[in-house]
Amino acid sequence: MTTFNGWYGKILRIDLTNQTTKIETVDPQFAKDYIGGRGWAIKYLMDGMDPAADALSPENILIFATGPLTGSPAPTGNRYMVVTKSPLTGVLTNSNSGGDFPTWMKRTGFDLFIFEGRAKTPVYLWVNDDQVEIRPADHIWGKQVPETTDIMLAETHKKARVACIGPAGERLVKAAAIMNDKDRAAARSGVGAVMGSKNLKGVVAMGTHKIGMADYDGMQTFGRAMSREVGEASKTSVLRIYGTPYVPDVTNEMGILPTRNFQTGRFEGVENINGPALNASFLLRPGACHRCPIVCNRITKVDTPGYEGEGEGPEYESIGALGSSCGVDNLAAITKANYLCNEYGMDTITVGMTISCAMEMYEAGIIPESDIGEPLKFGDADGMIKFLKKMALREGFGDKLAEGSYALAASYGHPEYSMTAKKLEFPGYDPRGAKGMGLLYATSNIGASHMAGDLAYAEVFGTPEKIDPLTTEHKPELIMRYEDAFTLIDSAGLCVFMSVRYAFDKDVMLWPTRLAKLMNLTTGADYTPETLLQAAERVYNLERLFLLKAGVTKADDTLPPRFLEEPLTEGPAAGHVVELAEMLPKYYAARGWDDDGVPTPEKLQELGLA
Amino acid sequence: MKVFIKLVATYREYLPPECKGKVEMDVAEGVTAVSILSSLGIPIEESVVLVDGRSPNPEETLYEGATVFAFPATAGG
Ligand code: SF4
Repeated sequence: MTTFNGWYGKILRIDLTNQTTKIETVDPQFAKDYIGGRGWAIKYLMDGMDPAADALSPENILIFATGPLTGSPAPTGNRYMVVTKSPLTGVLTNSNSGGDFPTWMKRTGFDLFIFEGRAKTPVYLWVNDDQVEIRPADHIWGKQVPETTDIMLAETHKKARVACIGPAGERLVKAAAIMNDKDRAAARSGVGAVMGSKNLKGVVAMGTHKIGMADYDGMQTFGRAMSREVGEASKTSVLRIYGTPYVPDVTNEMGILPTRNFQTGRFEGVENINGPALNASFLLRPGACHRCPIVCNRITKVDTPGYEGEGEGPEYESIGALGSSCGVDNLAAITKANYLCNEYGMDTITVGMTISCAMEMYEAGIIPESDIGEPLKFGDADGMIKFLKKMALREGFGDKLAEGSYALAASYGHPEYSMTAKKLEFPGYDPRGAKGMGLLYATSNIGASHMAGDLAYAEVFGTPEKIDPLTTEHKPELIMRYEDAFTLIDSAGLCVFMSVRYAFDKDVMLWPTRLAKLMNLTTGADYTPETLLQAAERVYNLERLFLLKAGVTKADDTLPPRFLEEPLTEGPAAGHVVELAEMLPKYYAARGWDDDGVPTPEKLQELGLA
Repeated sequence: MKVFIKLVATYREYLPPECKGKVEMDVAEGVTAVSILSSLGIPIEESVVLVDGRSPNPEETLYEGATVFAFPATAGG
């Protein structure tokens, strides 16, 4: 038997329909060629299901995937990916989360959990090393995330960790997330609804397995040195002091802060929703995912009457979606809305952007007041909270919101009001003022996600270097590289915040010299930066093939008309739209895809996918 | 001529606390964003500098009413 390092080479397959589980082993060459995590998962998805199947049917497969560096001494080696077909978008999704759960999952001795079928009644999975049990969850069904987590821990082991869904996932709300450690989320694309459709309320994990290390001493030395370097730099870093809420000031200055459903990129209330405002009013302390030296999470508490609560967040993306995009500058309300999303188990981005879409359509007279039951205008903080709850529970107009902004807008004959690509709501960067992000939203395998290849690092944040956000020059090649580099990070099991800055060369082309070293010391594979990027490209192309089989065509690699036709009116990007027609063919060419966005036989041959 | 300086996040500390990161300055013609920020002690190499929201060319001189904006180059949002 082959000895694996980094990977265990072991997969737990759970057949929910028949309530059976099975352990499978992995071919070592496959392990290396597909890296792990997101990379392994797409192969299992592609081989195990028809990409055209209904995402909420038992045919869909739900995969929890750790990478070879999850649980290793590499800084931020604490991530996992949820990979499945998305009910929100109808295409693939891969949603990332940190916290403790991924490390605890890795300690069970399995790299992947693969869920198939559908349980007849609610269940949860309890994995303690090789002891695997599918347990009834009828008594927990209906409960919110914090209570669900507490009950599952009480019934299993208090030192275990839980990933679960809340009431939104049970009701197949298409914004539903899978929450772990109560406040961390594999948030995007409705992964929680897939779990709900399988009657799977949660997964509890713990174990005593330790990954093998090809060069134990080398990895201890290098991994620890990297952690020290990151830790030292992070002591005074903006991510520790303000967390991502420092960002609204930056995007507002650049004129790309999503405001009133992306009607503008500047928000007059920005000073009420920025990092200093959060620190002054609600921040208790910064928090961290398992053993992370960066410490970017926000542990907060709100005492403001009507908005009381305690928990994690809000992050920048949540502030953009629930705040400026809804025209809301009440930070207590935004923070409360963030807590509620965590408790019901929902993605703050899709929730905020869907409500802001409804607000614009109401103000435009397209959605009648009689449908909503009351006025729903920009700036209505309490309305935002009220309809978030209705969305989670599918009550009244909330039932329409629960389908996401695209289905909502399309149901009134006006899909153009939905700020989505492949039906996934935009994150917090107006692409008219960050052109590479426009190309990313249009081409990403999961729709408009910054996590698919966040060129905002360079276009906005100056990491590894600042590039002009308003030019289209070099953006096709850069987006290809960022998509591949982020695929690599997701497959390895690291957090992008650390990786972009420390695991790649300090060059805008993101060359993975250090990441290759981390991978080799851990797994013993002889990756070079080239072969590692090629493996990521293989994964990316296989994902694209999944999309094509699910029915995606070139026509889906696009953006809402607002970004292609309506120039921004203020700020440095005034007069700009996204020149997608110019960038897209160059991007296809860079990828070795034909004019219709289909990988050529030569490209598939080169990647071993033919 | 008058220009505006806007420093966000941790860079607020380069100005007195009561400024909350914002100050109006009288500067000589011909100065650049980088020279003003350097005079405040800001480490330019580690910073993102914007003039009226755009990335200026480093030699570009400021004009009346320009807003100079700076924050530490960092990882993402
Ligand atoms: S940088 Fe932030 S999100 Fe990433 S692992 Fe660390 S604490 Fe978690």
